[in-house]
Amino acid sequence: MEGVLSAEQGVRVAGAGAADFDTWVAARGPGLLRLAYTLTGDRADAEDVVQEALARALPRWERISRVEDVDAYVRRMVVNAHTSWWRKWRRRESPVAELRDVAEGVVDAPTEGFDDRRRLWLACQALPEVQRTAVVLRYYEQLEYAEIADLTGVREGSVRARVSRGIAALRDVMGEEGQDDE
Amino acid sequence: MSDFEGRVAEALRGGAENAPDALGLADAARGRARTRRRTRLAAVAGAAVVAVAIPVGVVALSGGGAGSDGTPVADDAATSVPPVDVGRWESWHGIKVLVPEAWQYGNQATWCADGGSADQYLVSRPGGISLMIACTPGSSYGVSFQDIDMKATDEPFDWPVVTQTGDAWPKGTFVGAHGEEGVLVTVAGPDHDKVADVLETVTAFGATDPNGCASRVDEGNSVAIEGAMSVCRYDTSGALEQSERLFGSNATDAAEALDHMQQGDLDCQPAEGPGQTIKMFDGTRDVTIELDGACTVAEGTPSGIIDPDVLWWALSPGFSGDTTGLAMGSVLRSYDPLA
Repeated sequence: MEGVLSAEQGVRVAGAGAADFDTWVAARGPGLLRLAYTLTGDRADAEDVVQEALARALPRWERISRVEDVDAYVRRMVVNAHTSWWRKWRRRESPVAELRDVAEGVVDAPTEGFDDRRRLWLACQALPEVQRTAVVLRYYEQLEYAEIADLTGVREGSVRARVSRGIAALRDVMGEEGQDDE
Repeated sequence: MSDFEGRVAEALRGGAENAPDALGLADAARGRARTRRRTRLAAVAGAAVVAVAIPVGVVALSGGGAGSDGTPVADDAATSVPPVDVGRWESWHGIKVLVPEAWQYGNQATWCADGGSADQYLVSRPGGISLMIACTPGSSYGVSFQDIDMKATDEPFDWPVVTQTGDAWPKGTFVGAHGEEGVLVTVAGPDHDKVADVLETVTAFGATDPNGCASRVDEGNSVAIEGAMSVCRYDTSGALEQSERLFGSNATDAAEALDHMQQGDLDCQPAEGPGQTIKMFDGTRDVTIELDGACTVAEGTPSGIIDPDVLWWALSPGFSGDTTGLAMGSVLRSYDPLA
Protein backbone atom coordinates (compact mmCIF):
# COMPACT_ATOMS: atom_id res chain seq x y z
CA MET A 1 0.00 0.00 0.00
CA GLU A 2 1.34 3.41 -0.85
CA GLY A 3 -0.43 5.31 1.89
CA VAL A 4 -3.40 7.53 2.31
CA LEU A 5 -4.27 9.54 -0.75
CA SER A 6 -4.90 13.18 -0.04
CA ALA A 7 -6.56 15.60 -2.38
CA GLU A 8 -3.15 17.20 -2.97
CA GLN A 9 -1.61 13.87 -3.96
CA GLY A 10 -4.51 13.24 -6.29
CA VAL A 11 -3.74 16.44 -8.10
CA ARG A 12 -0.09 15.45 -8.41
CA VAL A 13 -0.97 12.09 -9.90
CA ALA A 14 -3.28 13.75 -12.35
CA GLY A 15 -0.59 16.22 -13.28
CA ALA A 16 2.00 13.52 -14.01
CA GLY A 17 -0.35 11.60 -16.29
CA ALA A 18 -1.50 14.77 -17.95
CA ALA A 19 2.02 15.68 -19.01
CA ASP A 20 2.48 12.42 -20.92
CA PHE A 21 -0.90 12.78 -22.54
CA ASP A 22 -0.24 16.36 -23.59
CA THR A 23 3.13 15.46 -25.06
CA TRP A 24 1.70 12.60 -27.04
CA VAL A 25 -1.25 14.63 -28.30
CA ALA A 26 1.04 17.48 -29.32
CA ALA A 27 3.07 15.07 -31.43
CA ARG A 28 0.32 12.87 -32.84
CA GLY A 29 -2.74 15.10 -32.74
CA PRO A 30 -2.22 16.65 -36.19
CA GLY A 31 -2.02 13.20 -37.78
CA LEU A 32 -5.16 12.07 -36.00
CA LEU A 33 -7.01 15.15 -37.20
CA ARG A 34 -5.90 14.52 -40.77
CA LEU A 35 -7.15 10.95 -40.55
CA ALA A 36 -10.44 12.09 -39.05
CA TYR A 37 -10.79 14.73 -41.73
CA THR A 38 -10.35 12.18 -44.51
CA LEU A 39 -12.99 10.04 -42.83
CA THR A 40 -15.54 12.78 -42.19
CA GLY A 41 -14.75 15.36 -44.86
CA ASP A 42 -15.68 18.09 -42.40
CA ARG A 43 -13.33 20.06 -40.17
CA ALA A 44 -15.74 20.43 -37.27
CA ASP A 45 -16.70 16.78 -37.42
CA ALA A 46 -13.03 15.79 -37.54
CA GLU A 47 -12.34 17.78 -34.38
CA ASP A 48 -15.39 16.24 -32.78
CA VAL A 49 -14.30 12.69 -33.58
CA VAL A 50 -10.70 13.17 -32.41
CA GLN A 51 -11.72 14.95 -29.22
CA GLU A 52 -14.16 12.16 -28.47
CA ALA A 53 -11.50 9.49 -28.99
CA LEU A 54 -8.98 11.34 -26.84
CA ALA A 55 -11.55 12.03 -24.14
CA ARG A 56 -12.15 8.29 -23.93
CA ALA A 57 -8.43 7.59 -23.93
CA LEU A 58 -7.53 10.12 -21.25
CA PRO A 59 -8.91 8.28 -18.19
CA ARG A 60 -7.08 5.13 -19.32
CA TRP A 61 -3.94 6.85 -20.53
CA GLU A 62 -1.71 5.20 -17.99
CA ARG A 63 -2.60 1.82 -19.46
CA ILE A 64 -2.82 2.88 -23.08
CA SER A 65 0.60 4.49 -22.94
CA ARG A 66 2.05 1.08 -22.09
CA VAL A 67 0.66 -0.82 -25.08
CA GLU A 68 3.08 -1.87 -27.79
CA ASP A 69 1.84 0.55 -30.44
CA VAL A 70 0.13 3.53 -28.88
CA ASP A 71 -0.30 5.26 -32.24
CA ALA A 72 -2.18 2.32 -33.70
CA TYR A 73 -4.28 1.99 -30.58
CA VAL A 74 -5.46 5.58 -30.63
CA ARG A 75 -5.86 5.54 -34.41
CA ARG A 76 -8.23 2.67 -33.90
CA MET A 77 -10.11 4.69 -31.31
CA VAL A 78 -10.47 7.52 -33.82
CA VAL A 79 -11.85 5.18 -36.46
CA ASN A 80 -14.25 3.69 -33.93
CA ALA A 81 -15.28 7.14 -32.74
CA HIS A 82 -15.99 8.06 -36.33
CA THR A 83 -18.08 4.94 -36.82
CA SER A 84 -20.02 5.61 -33.61
CA TRP A 85 -20.44 9.25 -34.52
CA TRP A 86 -21.72 8.38 -37.96
CA ARG A 87 -24.19 5.85 -36.60
CA LYS A 88 -25.38 8.33 -34.01
CA TRP A 89 -25.97 11.23 -36.33
CA ARG A 90 -26.89 9.69 -39.65
CA ARG A 91 -30.56 9.56 -38.74
CA ARG A 92 -30.62 13.30 -38.30
CA GLU A 93 -29.02 13.98 -41.64
CA SER A 94 -30.98 14.58 -44.77
CA PRO A 95 -31.11 11.68 -47.16
CA VAL A 96 -27.93 11.73 -49.20
CA ALA A 97 -28.22 11.87 -52.92
CA GLU A 98 -26.79 9.07 -54.98
CA LEU A 99 -23.03 9.09 -55.16
CA ARG A 100 -23.02 9.79 -58.85
CA ASP A 101 -25.36 12.75 -58.45
CA VAL A 102 -23.32 14.30 -55.68
CA ALA A 103 -20.00 13.82 -57.34
CA GLU A 104 -21.21 14.78 -60.78
CA GLY A 105 -22.76 17.90 -59.37
CA VAL A 106 -19.39 18.84 -58.06
CA VAL A 107 -17.66 17.89 -61.25
CA ASP A 108 -20.07 19.90 -63.30
CA ALA A 109 -19.50 23.03 -61.29
CA PRO A 110 -15.77 23.43 -60.94
CA THR A 111 -14.40 26.38 -59.08
CA GLU A 112 -11.04 28.04 -59.15
CA GLY A 113 -8.28 25.59 -58.32
CA PHE A 114 -10.54 22.67 -58.91
CA ASP A 115 -8.54 19.83 -60.34
CA ASP A 116 -8.42 16.11 -60.73
CA ARG A 117 -7.16 15.61 -57.21
CA ARG A 118 -9.92 17.75 -55.75
CA ARG A 119 -12.54 15.90 -57.76
CA LEU A 120 -11.27 12.61 -56.43
CA TRP A 121 -11.29 13.93 -52.87
CA LEU A 122 -14.90 15.02 -53.16
CA ALA A 123 -15.87 11.79 -54.83
CA CYS A 124 -14.29 9.87 -51.95
CA GLN A 125 -16.29 11.92 -49.49
CA ALA A 126 -19.45 11.05 -51.37
CA LEU A 127 -18.84 7.31 -51.04
CA PRO A 128 -21.09 5.36 -48.66
CA GLU A 129 -19.59 5.44 -45.18
CA VAL A 130 -18.37 1.85 -45.03
CA GLN A 131 -16.73 2.13 -48.43
CA ARG A 132 -15.18 5.49 -47.59
CA THR A 133 -13.73 4.16 -44.36
CA ALA A 134 -12.26 1.15 -46.14
CA VAL A 135 -10.82 3.29 -48.94
CA VAL A 136 -9.34 5.80 -46.52
CA LEU A 137 -7.72 3.13 -44.40
CA ARG A 138 -6.39 1.36 -47.48
CA TYR A 139 -5.07 4.30 -49.46
CA TYR A 140 -4.54 7.07 -46.92
CA GLU A 141 -3.41 5.01 -43.96
CA GLN A 142 -1.81 2.44 -46.30
CA LEU A 143 -3.04 -0.45 -44.19
CA GLU A 144 -3.15 -4.03 -45.40
CA TYR A 145 -6.56 -5.63 -45.85
CA ALA A 146 -6.01 -7.83 -42.84
CA GLU A 147 -5.17 -4.81 -40.71
CA ILE A 148 -8.30 -3.01 -41.86
CA ALA A 149 -10.35 -6.10 -41.10
CA ASP A 150 -8.87 -6.26 -37.63
CA LEU A 151 -9.39 -2.57 -37.03
CA THR A 152 -12.96 -2.36 -38.27
CA GLY A 153 -14.08 -5.75 -37.02
CA VAL A 154 -15.26 -7.12 -40.35
CA ARG A 155 -13.97 -10.04 -42.38
CA GLU A 156 -11.05 -9.45 -44.71
CA GLY A 157 -13.18 -10.50 -47.66
CA SER A 158 -15.70 -7.82 -46.79
CA VAL A 159 -12.94 -5.24 -46.59
CA ARG A 160 -11.69 -6.21 -50.03
CA ALA A 161 -15.22 -5.98 -51.40
CA ARG A 162 -15.75 -2.55 -49.87
CA VAL A 163 -12.50 -1.21 -51.22
CA SER A 164 -13.17 -2.72 -54.62
CA ARG A 165 -16.66 -1.24 -54.80
CA GLY A 166 -15.39 2.10 -53.59
CA ILE A 167 -12.68 2.22 -56.24
CA ALA A 168 -15.16 1.13 -58.90
CA ALA A 169 -17.52 3.90 -57.86
CA LEU A 170 -14.71 6.43 -58.00
CA ARG A 171 -13.69 5.24 -61.44
CA ASP A 172 -17.26 5.57 -62.57
CA VAL A 173 -17.54 9.10 -61.25
CA MET A 174 -14.24 10.06 -62.81
CA GLY A 175 -15.30 8.52 -66.10
CA GLU A 176 -12.43 6.11 -66.24
CA GLU A 177 -12.27 2.63 -67.62
CA GLY A 178 -12.52 -0.11 -65.05
CA GLN A 179 -9.58 -2.39 -64.60
CA ASP A 180 -8.29 -4.80 -62.05
CA ASP A 181 -6.63 -3.01 -59.20
CA GLU A 182 -3.87 -4.92 -57.53
CA MET B 1 -1.21 -0.36 -56.65
CA SER B 2 -2.60 0.85 -59.95
CA ASP B 3 -2.16 4.36 -61.25
CA PHE B 4 -5.74 5.18 -60.35
CA GLU B 5 -5.31 3.92 -56.80
CA GLY B 6 -2.16 6.00 -56.55
CA ARG B 7 -4.16 9.06 -57.57
CA VAL B 8 -6.77 8.22 -54.93
CA ALA B 9 -4.06 8.02 -52.28
CA GLU B 10 -2.60 11.31 -53.47
CA ALA B 11 -6.03 12.96 -53.42
CA LEU B 12 -6.65 11.81 -49.89
CA ARG B 13 -3.26 13.01 -48.72
CA GLY B 14 -3.81 16.35 -50.40
CA GLY B 15 -7.28 16.76 -48.96
CA ALA B 16 -6.06 15.84 -45.49
CA GLU B 17 -3.84 18.92 -45.51
CA ASN B 18 -6.98 20.98 -44.99
CA ALA B 19 -7.62 19.29 -41.65
CA PRO B 20 -7.99 21.60 -38.67
CA ASP B 21 -4.89 22.27 -36.62
CA ALA B 22 -4.32 20.56 -33.30
CA LEU B 23 -3.96 23.69 -31.23
CA GLY B 24 -5.56 23.12 -27.82
CA LEU B 25 -6.56 19.58 -28.74
CA ALA B 26 -5.41 18.02 -25.46
CA ASP B 27 -7.23 20.64 -23.41
CA ALA B 28 -10.36 20.20 -25.47
CA ALA B 29 -10.23 16.44 -24.96
CA ARG B 30 -9.65 16.93 -21.25
CA GLY B 31 -12.63 19.24 -21.00
CA ARG B 32 -14.78 16.77 -22.86
CA ALA B 33 -13.65 13.94 -20.61
CA ARG B 34 -14.69 15.95 -17.55
CA THR B 35 -18.04 16.75 -19.12
CA ARG B 36 -18.59 13.12 -19.99
CA ARG B 37 -17.85 12.10 -16.44
CA ARG B 38 -20.14 14.72 -14.88
CA THR B 39 -22.91 13.83 -17.29
CA ARG B 40 -22.61 10.13 -16.62
CA LEU B 41 -22.56 10.55 -12.87
CA ALA B 42 -25.50 12.93 -12.93
CA ALA B 43 -27.48 10.54 -15.09
CA VAL B 44 -26.77 7.56 -12.90
CA ALA B 45 -27.40 9.54 -9.75
CA GLY B 46 -30.81 10.52 -11.08
CA ALA B 47 -31.66 6.95 -11.95
CA ALA B 48 -30.47 5.71 -8.59
CA VAL B 49 -32.54 8.20 -6.64
CA VAL B 50 -35.65 7.04 -8.44
CA ALA B 51 -34.80 3.41 -7.90
CA VAL B 52 -33.96 3.70 -4.23
CA ALA B 53 -36.63 6.29 -3.51
CA ILE B 54 -34.60 7.65 -0.61
CA PRO B 55 -33.23 10.91 -1.93
CA VAL B 56 -32.47 12.12 1.58
CA GLY B 57 -29.34 10.78 3.18
CA VAL B 58 -27.90 8.87 0.29
CA VAL B 59 -24.99 11.26 -0.07
CA ALA B 60 -24.05 10.63 3.51
CA LEU B 61 -24.23 6.91 2.88
CA SER B 62 -21.78 7.11 0.05
CA GLY B 63 -19.19 8.57 2.35
CA GLY B 64 -16.28 10.85 1.51
CA GLY B 65 -15.20 12.28 -1.75
CA ALA B 66 -16.22 15.86 -1.23
CA GLY B 67 -13.83 18.74 -1.07
CA SER B 68 -13.58 21.09 1.88
CA ASP B 69 -16.28 23.29 0.45
CA GLY B 70 -18.59 20.37 -0.08
CA THR B 71 -18.13 20.19 -3.80
CA PRO B 72 -17.11 16.97 -5.51
CA VAL B 73 -13.41 16.30 -5.92
CA ALA B 74 -12.23 16.14 -9.51
CA ASP B 75 -11.37 12.66 -10.62
CA ASP B 76 -9.07 12.73 -13.58
CA ALA B 77 -6.62 10.40 -11.90
CA ALA B 78 -7.59 6.79 -11.59
CA THR B 79 -6.42 6.81 -8.00
CA SER B 80 -8.28 9.87 -6.82
CA VAL B 81 -11.35 9.78 -4.65
CA PRO B 82 -14.48 9.78 -6.80
CA PRO B 83 -16.97 12.60 -6.50
CA VAL B 84 -19.94 12.25 -4.23
CA ASP B 85 -22.35 10.01 -6.02
CA VAL B 86 -25.52 8.16 -5.39
CA GLY B 87 -24.42 4.64 -5.95
CA ARG B 88 -21.51 2.38 -5.29
CA TRP B 89 -18.65 1.29 -7.45
CA GLU B 90 -18.40 -2.39 -8.25
CA SER B 91 -15.24 -3.76 -9.81
CA TRP B 92 -14.09 -6.97 -11.37
CA HIS B 93 -10.57 -7.41 -12.71
CA GLY B 94 -9.70 -4.02 -14.22
CA ILE B 95 -13.24 -2.81 -14.87
CA LYS B 96 -15.54 -0.72 -12.72
CA VAL B 97 -19.22 0.19 -12.89
CA LEU B 98 -21.34 2.53 -10.80
CA VAL B 99 -24.56 0.83 -9.70
CA PRO B 100 -27.50 2.16 -7.67
CA GLU B 101 -27.14 1.59 -3.94
CA ALA B 102 -30.23 -0.59 -3.83
CA TRP B 103 -28.82 -3.30 -6.08
CA GLN B 104 -28.10 -6.44 -4.10
CA TYR B 105 -25.53 -9.18 -4.62
CA GLY B 106 -26.17 -12.64 -5.95
CA ASN B 107 -26.17 -14.91 -8.94
CA GLN B 108 -28.62 -13.66 -11.54
CA ALA B 109 -28.96 -17.17 -12.95
CA THR B 110 -30.18 -18.62 -9.63
CA TRP B 111 -32.55 -15.82 -8.68
CA CYS B 112 -35.36 -18.31 -8.04
CA ALA B 113 -33.56 -19.96 -5.13
CA ASP B 114 -34.98 -19.21 -1.71
CA GLY B 115 -38.11 -17.59 -3.09
CA GLY B 116 -36.29 -14.86 -5.02
CA SER B 117 -37.82 -12.74 -7.72
CA ALA B 118 -36.70 -12.21 -11.30
CA ASP B 119 -37.32 -8.48 -11.02
CA GLN B 120 -34.68 -8.01 -8.35
CA TYR B 121 -31.45 -6.27 -9.32
CA LEU B 122 -28.36 -8.31 -8.58
CA VAL B 123 -24.63 -7.73 -9.02
CA SER B 124 -23.21 -11.03 -10.31
CA ARG B 125 -19.64 -12.15 -10.54
CA PRO B 126 -18.15 -15.32 -12.03
CA GLY B 127 -16.65 -17.89 -9.73
CA GLY B 128 -17.71 -19.04 -6.35
CA ILE B 129 -20.10 -21.86 -5.66
CA SER B 130 -23.21 -21.94 -7.85
CA LEU B 131 -26.46 -23.70 -7.12
CA MET B 132 -27.62 -26.25 -9.68
CA ILE B 133 -30.91 -24.54 -10.35
CA ALA B 134 -32.50 -23.72 -13.67
CA CYS B 135 -34.69 -20.66 -13.29
CA THR B 136 -37.17 -19.35 -15.84
CA PRO B 137 -36.53 -16.73 -17.01
CA GLY B 138 -32.88 -17.56 -16.99
CA SER B 139 -31.63 -14.36 -15.41
CA SER B 140 -32.80 -11.56 -13.17
CA TYR B 141 -32.09 -7.85 -13.63
CA GLY B 142 -28.82 -6.24 -12.66
CA VAL B 143 -25.22 -6.21 -13.75
CA SER B 144 -22.93 -9.15 -14.44
CA PHE B 145 -19.25 -9.50 -15.22
CA GLN B 146 -17.90 -12.04 -17.65
CA ASP B 147 -14.46 -13.01 -18.85
CA ILE B 148 -14.15 -12.73 -22.63
CA ASP B 149 -11.37 -13.25 -25.13
CA MET B 150 -9.95 -9.87 -26.07
CA LYS B 151 -6.48 -8.91 -27.16
CA ALA B 152 -4.67 -6.31 -25.09
CA THR B 153 -4.99 -3.78 -27.88
CA ASP B 154 -8.61 -4.50 -28.74
CA GLU B 155 -10.79 -1.43 -28.60
CA PRO B 156 -13.60 -1.30 -26.05
CA PHE B 157 -16.95 -2.05 -27.65
CA ASP B 158 -20.60 -1.57 -26.84
CA TRP B 159 -23.62 -3.70 -27.46
CA PRO B 160 -26.63 -1.44 -27.79
CA VAL B 161 -29.38 -1.51 -25.21
CA VAL B 162 -32.23 -3.45 -26.81
CA THR B 163 -35.23 -5.41 -25.63
CA GLN B 164 -34.85 -9.15 -25.33
CA THR B 165 -37.25 -11.86 -26.31
CA GLY B 166 -37.27 -15.46 -25.16
CA ASP B 167 -36.72 -16.79 -21.69
CA ALA B 168 -33.27 -15.44 -20.96
CA TRP B 169 -34.63 -12.44 -19.03
CA PRO B 170 -38.05 -11.31 -17.83
CA LYS B 171 -40.29 -10.25 -20.68
CA GLY B 172 -39.51 -6.76 -21.96
CA THR B 173 -36.07 -6.57 -20.36
CA PHE B 174 -33.61 -4.13 -21.87
CA VAL B 175 -30.09 -5.50 -22.08
CA GLY B 176 -26.86 -3.84 -23.13
CA ALA B 177 -23.19 -4.58 -22.63
CA HIS B 178 -19.75 -3.03 -22.72
CA GLY B 179 -16.57 -4.99 -23.39
CA GLU B 180 -13.18 -3.76 -22.38
CA GLU B 181 -9.86 -5.32 -21.39
CA GLY B 182 -11.19 -8.85 -21.53
CA VAL B 183 -14.27 -8.18 -19.44
CA LEU B 184 -17.84 -8.05 -20.68
CA VAL B 185 -20.20 -6.15 -18.40
CA THR B 186 -23.87 -6.81 -19.10
CA VAL B 187 -26.62 -4.65 -17.66
CA ALA B 188 -30.28 -5.70 -17.68
CA GLY B 189 -33.44 -4.05 -16.47
CA PRO B 190 -36.94 -2.98 -17.45
CA ASP B 191 -36.01 0.68 -17.93
CA HIS B 192 -34.02 1.46 -21.06
CA ASP B 193 -32.57 4.70 -19.77
CA LYS B 194 -31.52 3.28 -16.44
CA VAL B 195 -29.74 0.39 -18.16
CA ALA B 196 -28.04 2.83 -20.52
CA ASP B 197 -27.01 5.11 -17.66
CA VAL B 198 -25.41 2.31 -15.68
CA LEU B 199 -23.75 1.01 -18.81
CA GLU B 200 -22.28 4.43 -19.49
CA THR B 201 -20.28 4.23 -16.26
CA VAL B 202 -18.54 0.98 -17.21
CA THR B 203 -14.89 1.64 -17.84
CA ALA B 204 -11.44 0.36 -17.08
CA PHE B 205 -9.80 1.88 -14.05
CA GLY B 206 -6.16 2.80 -13.81
CA ALA B 207 -3.92 1.91 -10.92
CA THR B 208 -6.73 1.45 -8.44
CA ASP B 209 -10.50 1.38 -8.48
CA PRO B 210 -12.63 3.96 -6.63
CA ASN B 211 -12.62 1.70 -3.58
CA GLY B 212 -8.84 1.91 -3.42
CA CYS B 213 -8.15 -1.61 -4.73
CA ALA B 214 -5.57 -2.54 -7.35
CA SER B 215 -6.68 -4.73 -10.22
CA ARG B 216 -4.18 -7.42 -9.22
CA VAL B 217 -3.04 -8.50 -5.81
CA ASP B 218 0.61 -8.30 -6.77
CA GLU B 219 0.47 -4.75 -8.12
CA GLY B 220 0.91 -3.36 -4.65
CA ASN B 221 -0.51 0.05 -5.41
CA SER B 222 -3.68 -0.05 -3.37
CA VAL B 223 -4.56 3.35 -1.98
CA ALA B 224 -6.27 3.89 1.34
CA ILE B 225 -9.14 6.34 1.39
CA GLU B 226 -9.46 8.73 4.29
CA GLY B 227 -12.22 7.79 6.69
CA ALA B 228 -12.81 4.42 5.11
CA MET B 229 -11.52 0.88 5.17
CA SER B 230 -11.03 -0.83 1.83
CA VAL B 231 -11.73 -4.52 1.42
CA CYS B 232 -10.27 -6.02 -1.76
CA ARG B 233 -10.77 -9.68 -2.62
CA TYR B 234 -8.65 -11.40 -5.26
CA ASP B 235 -9.20 -14.76 -6.91
CA THR B 236 -6.63 -17.53 -6.94
CA SER B 237 -4.99 -16.06 -10.05
CA GLY B 238 -4.53 -12.74 -8.28
CA ALA B 239 -7.17 -10.79 -10.22
CA LEU B 240 -9.52 -8.44 -8.37
CA GLU B 241 -12.81 -10.21 -7.76
CA GLN B 242 -14.59 -7.66 -5.59
CA SER B 243 -13.86 -4.41 -3.83
CA GLU B 244 -15.71 -2.56 -1.12
CA ARG B 245 -15.42 0.58 0.95
CA LEU B 246 -16.51 0.47 4.56
CA PHE B 247 -17.48 3.77 6.14
CA GLY B 248 -18.46 5.15 9.50
CA SER B 249 -19.19 2.61 12.20
CA ASN B 250 -18.55 -0.24 9.76
CA ALA B 251 -15.02 1.00 9.16
CA THR B 252 -14.51 1.48 12.91
CA ASP B 253 -15.82 -2.00 13.73
CA ALA B 254 -13.69 -3.64 11.06
CA ALA B 255 -10.60 -1.82 12.35
CA GLU B 256 -11.40 -2.94 15.86
CA ALA B 257 -11.76 -6.53 14.70
CA LEU B 258 -8.31 -6.40 13.14
CA ASP B 259 -6.82 -4.76 16.22
CA HIS B 260 -8.12 -7.55 18.47
CA MET B 261 -7.00 -10.58 16.51
CA GLN B 262 -5.61 -13.44 18.58
CA GLN B 263 -1.83 -13.78 18.53
CA GLY B 264 0.08 -17.07 18.40
CA ASP B 265 0.82 -19.98 16.05
CA LEU B 266 -1.54 -22.36 14.32
CA ASP B 267 -1.00 -26.10 14.20
CA CYS B 268 -2.34 -26.95 10.75
CA GLN B 269 -1.34 -28.12 7.28
CA PRO B 270 -1.41 -25.27 4.77
CA ALA B 271 -2.86 -25.90 1.34
CA GLU B 272 -0.45 -26.35 -1.54
CA GLY B 273 -2.01 -24.03 -4.05
CA PRO B 274 -2.74 -20.34 -3.72
CA GLY B 275 -6.01 -19.39 -2.14
CA GLN B 276 -8.16 -16.33 -2.47
CA THR B 277 -6.51 -13.25 -1.04
CA ILE B 278 -8.21 -10.44 0.81
CA LYS B 279 -6.57 -7.13 1.55
CA MET B 280 -7.99 -4.79 4.18
CA PHE B 281 -6.46 -1.40 4.76
CA ASP B 282 -7.09 2.08 6.01
CA GLY B 283 -4.71 4.87 6.92
CA THR B 284 -2.94 2.87 9.63
CA ARG B 285 -3.74 -0.76 8.95
CA ASP B 286 -2.67 -2.89 6.03
CA VAL B 287 -3.55 -6.57 6.28
CA THR B 288 -3.32 -9.42 3.80
CA ILE B 289 -5.41 -12.54 4.37
CA GLU B 290 -4.95 -15.63 2.23
CA LEU B 291 -7.94 -17.89 2.71
CA ASP B 292 -6.60 -21.30 3.64
CA GLY B 293 -9.23 -23.01 5.78
CA ALA B 294 -8.19 -23.47 9.38
CA CYS B 295 -4.71 -22.15 8.57
CA THR B 296 -5.94 -18.70 7.65
CA VAL B 297 -4.04 -15.87 9.28
CA ALA B 298 -3.71 -12.16 8.70
CA GLU B 299 -0.29 -10.81 7.85
CA GLY B 300 0.73 -7.19 7.96
CA THR B 301 -0.17 -4.45 10.35
CA PRO B 302 -1.62 -5.82 12.54
CA SER B 303 -1.15 -9.56 12.13
CA GLY B 304 -2.89 -12.41 13.90
CA ILE B 305 -5.11 -15.45 13.68
CA ILE B 306 -8.33 -14.98 11.77
CA ASP B 307 -11.51 -15.13 13.81
CA PRO B 308 -15.22 -14.82 12.93
CA ASP B 309 -15.18 -11.11 13.71
CA VAL B 310 -12.50 -10.40 11.12
CA LEU B 311 -14.06 -12.73 8.57
CA TRP B 312 -17.37 -10.96 9.01
CA TRP B 313 -15.77 -7.86 7.52
CA ALA B 314 -13.28 -9.57 5.20
CA LEU B 315 -15.90 -11.50 3.26
CA SER B 316 -17.82 -8.82 1.43
CA PRO B 317 -21.51 -9.33 0.65
CA GLY B 318 -21.86 -11.56 -2.37
CA PHE B 319 -18.92 -13.77 -1.45
CA SER B 320 -19.73 -17.31 -2.54
CA GLY B 321 -16.38 -19.04 -2.25
CA ASP B 322 -15.29 -22.02 -0.23
CA THR B 323 -15.53 -21.47 3.52
CA THR B 324 -14.47 -24.96 4.54
CA GLY B 325 -12.44 -24.88 7.72
CA LEU B 326 -12.69 -21.13 8.16
CA ALA B 327 -13.30 -19.92 11.68
CA MET B 328 -16.41 -18.02 10.82
CA GLY B 329 -19.91 -17.51 12.10
CA SER B 330 -23.01 -19.19 10.79
CA VAL B 331 -23.92 -16.45 8.33
CA LEU B 332 -22.06 -14.20 5.95
CA ARG B 333 -22.40 -10.48 5.99
CA SER B 334 -25.28 -9.42 3.78
CA TYR B 335 -25.71 -6.16 1.97
CA ASP B 336 -27.83 -3.44 3.49
CA PRO B 337 -28.05 -0.27 1.38
CA LEU B 338 -29.02 1.71 4.46
CA ALA B 339 -26.11 0.49 6.60
